[in-house]
Amino acid sequence: MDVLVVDLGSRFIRAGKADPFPNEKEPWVVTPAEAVVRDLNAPTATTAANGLDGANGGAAAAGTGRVVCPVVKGEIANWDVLEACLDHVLYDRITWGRGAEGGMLLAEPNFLSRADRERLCQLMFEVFNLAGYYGADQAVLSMYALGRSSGTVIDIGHGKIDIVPVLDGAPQLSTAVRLPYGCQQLAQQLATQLAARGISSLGSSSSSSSSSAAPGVAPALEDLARSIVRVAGSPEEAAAAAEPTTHTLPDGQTITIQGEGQQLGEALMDGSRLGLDVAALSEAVYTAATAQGDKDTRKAWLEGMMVCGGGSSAPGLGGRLLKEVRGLTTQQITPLLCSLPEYMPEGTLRHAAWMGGAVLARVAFSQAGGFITKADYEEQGPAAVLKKCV
Amino acid sequence: MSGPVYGGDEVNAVVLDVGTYHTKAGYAGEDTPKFVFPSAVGSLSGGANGMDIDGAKRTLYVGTHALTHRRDKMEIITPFKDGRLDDWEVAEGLLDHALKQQMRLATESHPIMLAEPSFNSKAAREKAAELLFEKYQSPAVFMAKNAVLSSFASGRPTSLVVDAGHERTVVSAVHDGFVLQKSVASTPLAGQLLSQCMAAAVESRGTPIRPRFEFTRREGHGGKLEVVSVAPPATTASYRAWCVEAIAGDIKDTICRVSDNAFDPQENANIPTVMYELPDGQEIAIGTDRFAIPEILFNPALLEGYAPVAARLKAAGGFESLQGIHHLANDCISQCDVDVRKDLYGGLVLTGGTAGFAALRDRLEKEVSELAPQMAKVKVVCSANAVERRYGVWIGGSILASLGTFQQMWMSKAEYREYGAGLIHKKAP
Repeated sequence: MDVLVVDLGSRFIRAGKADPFPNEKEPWVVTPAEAVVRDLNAPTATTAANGLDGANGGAAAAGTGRVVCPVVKGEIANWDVLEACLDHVLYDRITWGRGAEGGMLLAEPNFLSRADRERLCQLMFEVFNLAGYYGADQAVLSMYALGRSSGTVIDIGHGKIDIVPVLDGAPQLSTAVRLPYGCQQLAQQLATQLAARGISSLGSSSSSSSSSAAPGVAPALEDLARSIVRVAGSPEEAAAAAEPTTHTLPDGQTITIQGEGQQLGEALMDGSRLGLDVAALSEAVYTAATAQGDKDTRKAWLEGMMVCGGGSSAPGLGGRLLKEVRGLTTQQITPLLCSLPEYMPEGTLRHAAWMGGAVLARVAFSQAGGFITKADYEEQGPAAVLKKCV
Repeated sequence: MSGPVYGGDEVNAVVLDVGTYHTKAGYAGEDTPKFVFPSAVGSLSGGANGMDIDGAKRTLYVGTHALTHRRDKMEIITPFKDGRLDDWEVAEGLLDHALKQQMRLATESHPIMLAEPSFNSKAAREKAAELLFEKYQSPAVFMAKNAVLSSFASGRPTSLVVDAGHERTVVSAVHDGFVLQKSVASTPLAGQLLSQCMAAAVESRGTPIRPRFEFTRREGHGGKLEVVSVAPPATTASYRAWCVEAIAGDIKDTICRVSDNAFDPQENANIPTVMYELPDGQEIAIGTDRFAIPEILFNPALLEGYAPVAARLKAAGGFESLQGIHHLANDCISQCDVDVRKDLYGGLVLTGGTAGFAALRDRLEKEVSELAPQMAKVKVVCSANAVERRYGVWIGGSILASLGTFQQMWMSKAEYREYGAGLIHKKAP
């Protein structure tokens, strides 16, 4: 069976076939998870039917539709748009033929409710007519990418940071937490800082307090934010002057960045700098790893921390996080970051959930009974996902 | 109500146990609650200029992460009074957190089984039922007494349940699945008191327990991390006390043991000590307190050794009448019918967070045997697994809610609309 691994992110949907991995370095398809929704019935625009342009939402935004993201801050917000995006990925990009679909391993967003998991399963079998399906948590899959089944996953995403302790392949949801900021909020912060300097960046004219589906910041600005963010060794170092660098904005302006990168780094380490009522990143990690569990599990969680996701590439992040967590623990525990095994390709941490999914797909789909077949679904219904994919 | 009998799997019921220490929530049929968080809640008054206007809106912070994040002027409160839910706004906050934020439930589709204290009042039960039906639109609700659920979890319909919890240790006799109300007794000799004693013991040795927000580690000479004191102003005393109690509780859970025989601190003054490292790196050596503190459960007079705790208890009244839990268990059995006593002695179920002490089971069995009449054969049952002991009530609820024969016993929303919340007393006696 042709097995596809799909990772639903807030910014990108990553998809690729499990087979050639890890010879192919990264997922085949990394497409923005957004769709332009155009109301075909202009006067009574009750249902937004899909005149879809999933691949290039940014360019089409100038048209008559509005850009809607199906996954916002890690939660599935719009099922119709999700369906449309997956349709585009499966049939246009992966070029599956309708009627000849294979199996899919889906990396589900963390903290999904049971009802949503069942709904995803139903979507896959009934709309996309899959031959086989398996749904797993992104946090668990991220751990599998490093070849481990226990540890603390810190997934820095587009609109959220998920901190999930995983034990033997099961996420510990009581102490897991989702911090409500991510690269998107950092980009908004950058836009505010540039605006204060009198520079208007593309897309920042719309209200930046967007928890709604429409992004308030252009993707280009977010890429800029990601490229300049630097995490210094300590807050004092961050405040010190940095060398100026020049960048070109998409509208052609050239701007000089000096120190903004460090400030973004500090905001990443401590969400309260963005005005949010959250604990600092290292404290949230420490609480997640130690609030419950006995001495041995706490040790395992603190000594196996892993930073992954789109925002994990900020230079200095790992070292600073480790230093701060070390400051919180007692002598008996030495916090450590998990290292990447040599056989895994370079970009693993950025797409850790997808990579782990590819690892798991080889195992789950190779044995009979390891995944949900069409026949299983007909017999048990969507609840099959709760029984089989624990 | 008559109709098709549903098997437990299709029903997807939710079991909620709001305990005095932790609130436990999860789906019926599972073997442990997946969502556990503190029942204490942070409260910030919304009054302007920091003035507390009566009835001013307060913001509640619920859940592990919300509580461990220190906030200025945030007080710690619990919804309990005398072991029963009393502050319904806070209780609602806890339920919201459990059902909406942690479990992310569409509550209209899941029946809810709520565990309640064995001595719950009628008013509290009606209020809880009303809350579940009106706010959460549950399709069906059932309330079961903690003792009954613990009994089910151990597989016995008749037993004497000794539930050693956080605020109180409650002893109740369960016969054929019903609590014998006259026999229910409770004592404050429980986890919270023992943690407070531990805190008093450590601090009396000159090692103040510093909560996490009161220190930070900075790189000192040679790259070594040094501990530096931080004193954020506007931290409330209740928050600090809660943090200190949590640390003391961890010390208690890690190193305390119950001794096999009556333990006298004076006689055993030279007992070898055990080291424990506090969060700020200070190391303390605990010797006699290691055994003396759990011994308080059997010999409350030992509380005198922990002056601040004894003083607080005396001020609250009732110190003189305190008796050990073995006496409590024995008295409880004596309140029951003569016919039942044999079964009760033969099946004491030990459950609760404070029952996690190693060797508690053996000691309780020994002590109750000495008090019991000659002919009675005393047996104390408890789960070998510490996690199962802690969550015994929740596990019983999980078992009960997934039984096929139980499904007809739920109180449905239709019945609530027709008869009102008072029906809960008939449906769930």
